[in-house]
Amino acid sequence: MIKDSLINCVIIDDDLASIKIIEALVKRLPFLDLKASFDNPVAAAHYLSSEETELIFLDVEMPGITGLELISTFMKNQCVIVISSKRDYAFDAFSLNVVDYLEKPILDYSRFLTAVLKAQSVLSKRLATHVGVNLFVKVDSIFHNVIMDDILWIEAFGDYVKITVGDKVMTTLATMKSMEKRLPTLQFVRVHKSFVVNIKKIKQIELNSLQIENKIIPVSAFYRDSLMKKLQVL
Amino acid sequence: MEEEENDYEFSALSKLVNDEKILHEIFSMYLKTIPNTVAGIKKDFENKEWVAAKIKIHQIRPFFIYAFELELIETLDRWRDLKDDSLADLNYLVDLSRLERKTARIITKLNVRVSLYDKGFIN
Repeated sequence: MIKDSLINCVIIDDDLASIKIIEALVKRLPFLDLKASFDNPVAAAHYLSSEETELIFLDVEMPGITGLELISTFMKNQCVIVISSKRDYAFDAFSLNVVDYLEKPILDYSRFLTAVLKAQSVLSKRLATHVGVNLFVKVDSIFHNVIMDDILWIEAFGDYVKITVGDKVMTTLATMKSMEKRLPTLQFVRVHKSFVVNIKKIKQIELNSLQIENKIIPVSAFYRDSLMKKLQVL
Repeated sequence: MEEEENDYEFSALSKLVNDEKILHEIFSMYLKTIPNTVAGIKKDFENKEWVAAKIKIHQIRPFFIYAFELELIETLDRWRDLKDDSLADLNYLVDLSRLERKTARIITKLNVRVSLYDKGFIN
């Protein structure tokens, strides 16, 4: 589960009232981060080609380009929940690998929630399996191949992050959030606003800190629960 | 009498959205669009513009579902699913006048609700 990170999403529907309703439903789920809503599918296609989007709530019948055309032409690996007032498109939609198909208008919040949870599960599985075993880290215009397993911890450093691998420290331009997205969620965990650690490398954990090699890393109260949930504790 | 009971029933939508401010915005949107769309359907029927009529029928369908107008939904679905040439043969005048009448009634109720919100009686 991507419990600890937000899923960014967009709504594409030519009906403004429908958009408003879906926005209200999205707002009820704190793990969804609504980035934009479009009543114009062409503008949405433009947005999708340049912005990273994980989940799309998509109408089918729209002027200019249909939702299904949008999926087959412009979408890469986003999760799509189709919301349409016609059931006729369900077969085609599922053959395009949509996560779920909701009938419009939405009347049942739990049905909407089920669809979103399905998407969340698909995204987290994808993240756990899709994330590669290595990461190329750019330092001074050179890309270094880093085996993820070998990473000990990552520390925020202004606009940069410091990645500690064995006795080496690599400083690269990135945010902690973007690093978290690239790392396997089952193996790496945020323990502090400035630290992500490799669970496999933890030697011991105390109330407010943990130890990896000889380094003592702070564990903030905010992240302690998510750390403990990821550990196998006897 | 039967029409009086449910034709402004937006309880499913109210439960779903659960926020008076957003509901107010949605109802205001309906007030701006639905009467014009229904008038457009009438015009399209008169001008035998079946494709344009079907698009509008498709657009207003969610509104009438939220308004709990199940009989009207049946009519709209029948119109929407008919082939264009069959629509030309359809005797639609009775259903069209029912659509206009019910729309007017729901819109009046929504107008009252929006005014009450604007005046601070609903929050």
